[in-house]
Formats: sequence, C-alpha cells, structure tokens
Amino acid sequence: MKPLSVQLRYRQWLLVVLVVFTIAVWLVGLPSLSALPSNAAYLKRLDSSGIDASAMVYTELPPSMFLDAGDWVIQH
Amino acid sequence: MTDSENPRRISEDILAIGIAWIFLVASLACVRIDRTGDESGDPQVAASHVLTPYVAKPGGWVDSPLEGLGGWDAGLPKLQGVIGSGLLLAAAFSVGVWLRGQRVGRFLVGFAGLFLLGCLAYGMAGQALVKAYNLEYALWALAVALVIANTVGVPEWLRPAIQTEFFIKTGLVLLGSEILLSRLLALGLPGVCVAWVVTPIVLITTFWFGQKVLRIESPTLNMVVSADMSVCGVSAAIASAAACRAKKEELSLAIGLSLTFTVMMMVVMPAVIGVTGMSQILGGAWMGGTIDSTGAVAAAGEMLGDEAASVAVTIKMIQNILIGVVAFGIAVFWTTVMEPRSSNQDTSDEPSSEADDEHRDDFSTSTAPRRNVGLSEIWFRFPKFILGFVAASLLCSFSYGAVEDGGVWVSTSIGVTKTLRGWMFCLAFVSIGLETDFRRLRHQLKGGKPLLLYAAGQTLNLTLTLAMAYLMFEVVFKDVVAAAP
Repeated sequence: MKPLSVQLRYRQWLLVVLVVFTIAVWLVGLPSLSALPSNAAYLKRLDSSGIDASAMVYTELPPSMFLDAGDWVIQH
Repeated sequence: MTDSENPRRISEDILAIGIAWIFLVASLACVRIDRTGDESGDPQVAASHVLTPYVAKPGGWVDSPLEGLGGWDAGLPKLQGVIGSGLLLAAAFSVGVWLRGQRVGRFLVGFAGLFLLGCLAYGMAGQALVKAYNLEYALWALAVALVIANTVGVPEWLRPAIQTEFFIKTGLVLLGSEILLSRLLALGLPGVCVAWVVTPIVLITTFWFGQKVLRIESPTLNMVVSADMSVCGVSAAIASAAACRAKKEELSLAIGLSLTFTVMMMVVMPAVIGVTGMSQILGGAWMGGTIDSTGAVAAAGEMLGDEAASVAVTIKMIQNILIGVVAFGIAVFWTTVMEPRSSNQDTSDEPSSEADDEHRDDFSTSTAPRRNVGLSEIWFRFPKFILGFVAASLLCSFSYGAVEDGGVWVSTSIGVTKTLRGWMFCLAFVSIGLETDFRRLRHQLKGGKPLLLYAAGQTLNLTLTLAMAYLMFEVVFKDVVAAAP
C-alpha cells in the first residue's frame, strides 16, 4: 500500500494530465475535426435547420419543426 | 440533512415546488404581447420577455468557447445572461437553504464554485461537433465532477452547495410547465398509438424482465434504465429517479447507457431506413419512438429529410408529454407496492448490515407478502414535488390551449424557464458527480446486467415501435395522413 501523500501526489498529477488533455482536445482537436469538409457540411445543415442535436426536451427545438406548428395536416 | 432534523419544518419537496412556482409565475407575468393589424386586417401577434437579457446559458461554438457567449468582438453579450442566471438561482436557493436551517454564507461560497463547474460543463457540451452527436451537458457535468471527486477530492468549501435532490426536484417542477398536454394530438391517433401505447408496454415489460429474468439487485436502477430507454432519455431518467428515489450513481449509470446507445442509434437508424427504402413518415415515426434523446431524434430525422424530421420530433414531443404520467405512476407504484414490500422485509429480517442495506429494495427475490399501508402513510411517503410538476403542466396546458394568445404567451415564458431548468439540472449533475465514487459505479456494472437490460429493452422497443408505426401510418391511417402542398 502506497503512503497517502504519494497517492495524493499521484492523483494531483493525474488531474493535471486530464486537464491538459481536455484543453488540447476541446481547443485544438475538436475545432480541427469540425473544419473537415464532411463535418462542416453536416454542422452547417444542422445550424441552418436550427436543430440543437443535444436538446433534452422538445421545447429546445425550433417550434416550426413540429407538425402542429407547420404546414402539415392530419385529415380525418 | 433530513427533513426531520430541519428546525423550520419545511420539507425539501415543498420548497422545491415553491421556488419553481415563483419562477414560473414570474416568467408568465414578464411576457409582453403586442397585437397589431397588417394591411389585410389579420392581427399580428408579437411577444417578448422582460427577463430574456438576464437569463442565458453558454451557447454553441466551433473554434473558441467565447463564441458561446456571443463572441469577444461583440462584447460577450450572453455573459450578462449567464451571470444573471447564476444570481437568480443563488438568491432562490439561498432562501431555500435558509428555510431548511442551513448556513446561507457557506452555501453561497460553494454555489459560486458549483456554478463555475456548470459553466465548464456547458462550455464543453457547446462545441459544435460534441453537440451534433448529442453528448449533452449532463455527461460533461458528471465527468468533470467525477474527475475532481476521484482525484484530488471535493474541497470542504464546495460541499454546502451540493444539494442534488433540491436542484433536481425544483428543475423537475419547472419542467412540468414544458409538458403541454394540449399538444398530445399533434399527430392525431397514430401519434398517440406509437408514443403512448408502445412506450408503457416497453417500460413495464423491460422492468419485469430486469426483475424476473436478469434479477437485477436494485429495482430502482432497473426502473431508471427502463424509463430512460423507453420514454425519452435523460429527462425521463431524472424524473423516474426522483420518483422512485434511486441512488445517484444509478442515475449516472442510466444516463451513460442512454447517451452511448443514442449516439449509435442516431447514426445507424437513418442508414438502415435509407437502405430498406422505408418511407420518410414511417422512418421518422420509428426513430421518434425509439431514439432516447429529443435532440438526437431531430438530428437523425434531418439526415433523412424534412418530412422524416417533422414526424420524428412530433412523435418524440408526444413521448415527452408522457414524462408526467410516467413519473406520477412510478411514484404511486413505489409508494404503494415497492416500499411497503421492502420495509416489510426489513422488519422481518435480522438487523441488516450495510451490505444488506444495499440490497434492501430487491423486488426480484422478495417472497414477503405485501403489507397494507394506510392512506396517511402513502401520503407521507409520496414524493410531493410530483404534484407541483403535474400542477405546472396542467396550468400551462390550460393556458396554452384555452386562453387567447395562450400559445405565444406560454411558449415565450418557456423560453426563459427552460434555461433556468437547464441550469438546475446541470448543477444537479455536477453535484451527483462530486458525490459519486468510481468504486460504487463499478459495483452497479457487475455482470453487465444494466447493459443487457438496456439492450434487451431497446430491442423490444425497436420491434414494437416499428410494428405499431407500420400499422398506423402504412395500414390503418395510410390515406388520412398527408402533407399539405
């Protein structure tokens, strides 16, 4: 069993590594991937439709998407 | 602190209802509606909200997180709204904390840290590519907090602000205002059949399968996974977890499972629908009824076309409306069936160890007869905040459908309350992450049963939803579902 101080130092270093990794991924990796033509086109499509793909509830999507708000009709 | 230790004797549920309803009523009161007539004489209705500039969350960005606050060059216009949201929530929950007999000063210091972690989670979730694959803020709030808690540990000054249940319950009551029953018939009978007939069947069957076949140790974990898989992902997981008082790590696990499957399904399902030559309406209805997350349904529908996207999100909206019924049903079932059964086991058993305590709710192995409980005991055990949720839903549904300009009034109000609700859930997930030990999560994953439960339930969901959507849209109502030119 490692002494507590060694364990704490190990965990602190682990946190530093994770923080650096996260910053690199979010500020360098993901923007680069977003700029790839296929991804950029997909993101542009979502943006132009006003779609928030991370919406948790329907109220976070544009009202015009729903059938009771658009031109669609249900004929009975 | 439990309510029995609370010197002012106001329960957390009542406080959650009070705070949420103050936000709700204030938001409805701050809507301004202007009616003007155009040249043809048709009235034009425009609405605005007084609080809009003061309530916001970090938005989407591609290259720099500052874009999410409106951009550096524009002077970060959203920053005012983010700070405003933090101040509003700090003020409201400070009153709640004070009424529960806790120290407001210590809460506020911790709240500042918690809110900054929430901003970080929103910032991570806001990157365009992350957003596009439905990796929503709940995941990053949990991840950031879990890393802190399991590396350097939670600082003492942060602990007073960790009010997980309080944030969740208040957020859920506010969520009730977004559940508009008057929109249930947006897609007519076919929509109701796909979303309101299949979903409860899948929920109940999956729960039964988890209890009787997989014999999952914790019925609350079983219920939360079953609900988030069959209803609508994270929001249903939060509501069902609160209704059956699931453990925090069970909610984390259910959300992790749901988001993993959602990402796979939103990529695979449009491809399968395209290859099989399914119609856009059928494909949209199938995705709307099966993909957990609302945003992922919209994104997957968009891959097929506008028609599919509209049908998919409308089915999902009808399923969203089911959250209230499901949460209420789970609360009643747990209060009247599950808890009396487990308490009966507790009283008939030897004094239990901590390990036994972990398994005290095991429905699958229970042979104990049901103990009759009185109405007063049921009321005592019932999670009261569910009533606040239902009441908010009824008020807004009535206002939406029956009041003049109710639609625009309620929709404009929801524009503000949904942001506050999002912050409350975000703070709740940060709190859950800070309180979760990785080792307890590992225990829940033992034998891969939750994964099996999700996979089995989703297989049933995919099959039944496809069958019902086919029956409704391709057979019974084939001639009456049509698009306007």
